[in-house]
Amino acid sequence: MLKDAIADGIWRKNPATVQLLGLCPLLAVSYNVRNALGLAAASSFVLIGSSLTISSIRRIIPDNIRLPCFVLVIATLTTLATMFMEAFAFSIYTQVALFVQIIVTNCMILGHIESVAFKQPVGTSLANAVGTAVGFSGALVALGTIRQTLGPIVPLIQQPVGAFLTTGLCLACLNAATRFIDYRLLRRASD
Amino acid sequence: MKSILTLTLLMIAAGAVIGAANWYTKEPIERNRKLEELHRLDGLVDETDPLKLCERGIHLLEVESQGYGGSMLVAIAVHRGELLGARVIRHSETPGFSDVLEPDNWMGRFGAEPLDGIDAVTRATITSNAVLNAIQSAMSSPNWELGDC
Repeated sequence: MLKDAIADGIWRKNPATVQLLGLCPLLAVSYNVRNALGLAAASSFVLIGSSLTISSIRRIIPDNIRLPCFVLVIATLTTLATMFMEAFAFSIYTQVALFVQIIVTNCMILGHIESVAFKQPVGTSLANAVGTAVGFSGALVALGTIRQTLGPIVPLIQQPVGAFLTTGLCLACLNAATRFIDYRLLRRASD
Repeated sequence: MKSILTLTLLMIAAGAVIGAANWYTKEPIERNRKLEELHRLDGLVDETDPLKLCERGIHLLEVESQGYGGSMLVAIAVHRGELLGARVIRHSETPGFSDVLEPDNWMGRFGAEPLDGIDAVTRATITSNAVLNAIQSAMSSPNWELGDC
């Protein structure tokens, strides 16, 4: 179950490259690997933590006030992440502080909680959250690596514009790869 | 009714968690912020607590000034009415032209030489004039002389 969820999170349901969610921090901090790792860690912490919390108390949350409850839990965990980063990873914090704070409004996390954590038991939603977190972190770190490596050669890639260009090109390549694989699978099935 | 109760309970729990985290992270965060502030001042003073500085006769002022690329923030240290030194804390000047703002460049002359002997830098006139204006306005309106510690 966990294996499938992680595979889905990385490939078929990757929050960043397939669902195109949570792109704001992805574009903003991915100019080097260190910042990307910092934000990936904070996002993963909030995603997994809020998923666990909501999933375990989902039976006592009335349906009509579920959104305030979700936001409360997410905001609490984001505040925790901000505090701990400022206390123990200050040099990264000064670079990504703003984007850690706006994890609160990250639609990837809210979407995950609404569609999975609020409906599934703790185990399922934990596996799903881990998969999503791994996928998001992977995309963030990959983009950071590409932009940091190519930055000295093509300075534009380090600029905000470069974030859009690099992400767009990566998405195109990934989509092409997905289609190619699907096509091969289809052919094999029909043979 | 159940909604209000649930939300209230959740809020109490959230408040407790954040309170505990605040208790745990308060000291390192304060230490980090202080270090960061000293780092920004780059050797201008060895202490940022205004009260402790004041006891030694030092006043630390921050003056905003208009540069070429936007506003800049200049920190100025004054020791008993004499200029001790100045640092630019934040600016948006053109890279290259902002070199004069480094402490081991033109900026380092403040405090080391008499103020009226320092002219603007020819190739970065607007940038260096912004610093001069900030320092002159700080020195000519000595509100730091009025306050006791």
